[in-house]
Amino acid sequence: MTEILQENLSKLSINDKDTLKSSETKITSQVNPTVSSRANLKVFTDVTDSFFKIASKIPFGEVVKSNQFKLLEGTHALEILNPKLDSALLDLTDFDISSVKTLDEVNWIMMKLLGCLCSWLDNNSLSVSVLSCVYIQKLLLNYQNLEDPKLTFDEKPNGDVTDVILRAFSLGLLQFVKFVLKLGQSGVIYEEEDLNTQTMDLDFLTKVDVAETDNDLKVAIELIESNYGNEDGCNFCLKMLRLFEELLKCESLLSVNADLYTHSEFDSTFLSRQLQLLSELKDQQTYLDSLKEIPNCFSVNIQRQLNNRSPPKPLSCLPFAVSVESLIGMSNDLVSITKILEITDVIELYEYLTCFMNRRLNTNDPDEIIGNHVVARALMQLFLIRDDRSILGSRKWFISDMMLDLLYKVSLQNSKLSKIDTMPGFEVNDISYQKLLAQLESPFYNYLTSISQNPSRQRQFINKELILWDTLQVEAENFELELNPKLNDNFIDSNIPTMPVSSFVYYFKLVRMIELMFKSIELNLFKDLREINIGYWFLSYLIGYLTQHIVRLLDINRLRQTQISNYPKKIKKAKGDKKLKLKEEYESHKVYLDQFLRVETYLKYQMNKMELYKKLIELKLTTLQILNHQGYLKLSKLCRAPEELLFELQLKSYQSIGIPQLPTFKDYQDSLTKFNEVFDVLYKQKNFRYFKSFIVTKNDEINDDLEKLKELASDLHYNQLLTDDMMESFSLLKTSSLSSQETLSTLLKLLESEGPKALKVTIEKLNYHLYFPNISIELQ
Amino acid sequence: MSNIDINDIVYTPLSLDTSKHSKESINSTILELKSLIDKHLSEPYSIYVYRFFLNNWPELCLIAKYGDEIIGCIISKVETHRNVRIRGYIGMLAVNEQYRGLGIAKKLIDLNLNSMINTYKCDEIILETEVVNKTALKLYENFGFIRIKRLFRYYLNKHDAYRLILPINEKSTIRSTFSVILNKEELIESKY
Repeated sequence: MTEILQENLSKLSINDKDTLKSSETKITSQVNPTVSSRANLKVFTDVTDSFFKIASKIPFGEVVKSNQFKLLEGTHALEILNPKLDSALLDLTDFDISSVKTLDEVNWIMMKLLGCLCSWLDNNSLSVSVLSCVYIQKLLLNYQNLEDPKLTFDEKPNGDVTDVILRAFSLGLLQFVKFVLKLGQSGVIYEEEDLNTQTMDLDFLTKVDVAETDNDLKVAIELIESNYGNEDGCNFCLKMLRLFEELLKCESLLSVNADLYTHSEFDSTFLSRQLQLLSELKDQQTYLDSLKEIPNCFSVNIQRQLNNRSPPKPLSCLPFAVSVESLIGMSNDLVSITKILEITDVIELYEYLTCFMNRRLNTNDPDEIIGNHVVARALMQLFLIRDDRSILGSRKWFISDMMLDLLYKVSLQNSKLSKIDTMPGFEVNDISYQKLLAQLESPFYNYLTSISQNPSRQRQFINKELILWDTLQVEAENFELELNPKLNDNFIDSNIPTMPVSSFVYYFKLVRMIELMFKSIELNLFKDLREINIGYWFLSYLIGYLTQHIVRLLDINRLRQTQISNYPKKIKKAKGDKKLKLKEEYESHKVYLDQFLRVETYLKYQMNKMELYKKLIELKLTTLQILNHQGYLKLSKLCRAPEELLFELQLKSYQSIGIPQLPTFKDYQDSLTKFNEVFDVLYKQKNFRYFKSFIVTKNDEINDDLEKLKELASDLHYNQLLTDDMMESFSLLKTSSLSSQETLSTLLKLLESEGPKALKVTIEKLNYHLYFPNISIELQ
Repeated sequence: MSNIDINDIVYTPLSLDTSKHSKESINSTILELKSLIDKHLSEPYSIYVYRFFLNNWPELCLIAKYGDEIIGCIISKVETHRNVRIRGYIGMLAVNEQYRGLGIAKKLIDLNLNSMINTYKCDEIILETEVVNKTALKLYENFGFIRIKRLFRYYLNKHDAYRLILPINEKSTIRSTFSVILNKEELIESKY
């Protein structure tokens, strides 16, 4: 039955003129017929009667659809006559484009357009923002008029303020939109989630050169300068035009071709000028408040008139002050991208990229977690990694080179494995070694691409990366363990192999495992005290493994330093060819001494940071486990899943990891029970002396760690931007530390004086370190 | 509404059975459901969305009625996820504001979970909810749902969402890559 109906329904094609000729009617399209998507839709056929006749035979409750798709795919369709989904139901408004005559009116439109642009960059569609302006719509439609393309609002421009100033501004804005569309469509960020690149089939000036628009902007600036006085309106207009002159230079970042660590020259003064202009524009609010609104200049018309794949939505335009702040944020983020050119080695670059990834926009809304500006995020990846997989467009540096550079610095330098290609008898092993190195590129590439993602995606990227590192660790270990009896690269006076590649892989795996957990805390994935307790407990476990492993990396580093310093003695004892060979080796090894010292400092810094994290976690865990003793970590009575299953789901990402193995739920419970037993005795005696001195000790230790971190950071001689970010992070860690101490202290005091009374426990994020939100406690 | 006796609220699954209900009554129920959801949820849903859920899994559309009035509903589905586990999905839940605070949403979720667990043998049940919708989050999280992922600007209103999962058995706790593929006869696919 369904098949017959489908066959009948398929006959209802608008091309089937034989069967439905009588009901054919002509309807002229309401929009410019030159718009390509509508050009073929001049003839419609009324099939209503035939449709209902055939459809009446469908059995009640049956769904008739093509076998080529699932109904699920249809759920993305826009439904005709549904007011929430059908933009054809929107009311059209009229606007006479020749009605705008004065500079103030043009300024009002420019102010609104800037708000629309920033609204688009804030994840709204072009149709509800930039394209809602009648002038922009006109300009783009005239531009893509196949018969007579024109870059004007009107058929016959008369050279007034709109034709010169608003036109130049609009072109500047559209060129910038074109550039951002290019970024959005390059596949480095996510459609709709990060940026909406639907253009309603409009051509965003693909054939108009930026230089041409730049010239239009200059002509408009000259016109203002020569014809208007130094009033507020004139100043505002000039600044807006100049702002777009500078914004159009952002694209120049993509044509930079530089070698890493060479301090390449790049003229980034346009970014300073952008920031200066934006700062001056902030002061124009009083003038802008005096401007009169121009009704219907911005409307929903375009949502109804052009190819719209979205439901009807209200217009979106950010207030001027918010727009300016948003662009300041973007320009500052772009400035920080240019700092890559000042970086001196891969250690600094790795730290810089991690720091860039963790930058967050300060908002007053704890539910909003926003990273770098979307333009900067997309641009960063395209700037860093080019289509040919080169770094910064260098001819020397590709992703694999950068990864190898990092591997050498962390653990491979001066190892026997690194010279395997020159050692006779190791030819077959060298092939396997090269394959292993090639495989390392995959998780490293994933890391490099994660830095440009929004905070939620960053976590997903890390989650995916863990499997890659874990698989590689097994392969690297097997390879190195099998080869080492032949290579004999062991620690001094021991049979323990150094295993430089496995050590590198394990280090990054642990670092990313820890980052994943911290990001879960940052993204509020742990909803309550019970879950946060699991998170910190597991983090403490992971950090234990990482600090142990950093000790190993430091041992490798010191081994290489000792090997270099042992050469003079060996050379002294040796004779003949052996002496010469040792001398040669010494010369080639000792050039890396400074590098080893620097990496040693870096590893000490990482060790210190992790130890600091662990102490902060100890403060949190103590508070949480006392709250557990008081019954604040219980599951809801309605809960339909056993706690063990919830524990395992919460740590699902780690289930498959070989080493370190995920501790069991029993391990977790045992640790809680142990604490409870000890605390119970003290609680009954109201004896909290141990905990009070614990707070004092942790405070001293954390302060010492922070001081050491500052010293080590200074010894690393990072660039100013990175140093500033690190100092800010230390300051937030200090705040989190103080608040954690205060919370624990408050809790102890309440238990001491009030006994087991109802407490109000809240988690506060604002103004605390991303990974250490405050747990605030007070009497209910 | 303090004068409502919650015992008078009746919870029934949607029935498309024309031997028990007239076509007009079924159509009217569907329209009423659509109107309730459209009024209370921010996302716009087309008729295809409703038909996808209601025609494929009418028994997973649970309706709360007070007298003749539909005052709440929950709409769900069950499908195989990546060929390794059976996944229930709560698509929509709405309760008329006049009847809130009476535990109707809680009851709808509870009954719906029972169907997905007992009838469909789901390994896990998932849903998405807005980060800012604290009431909904608390409601689901009290049932044991866990925030497994944050979805950046997931909704048309630009809010982030959490993907919540309620694990029913250990299959839910293993990454799909490392899970055992289900047999063909274990797979559940939508009819339409």
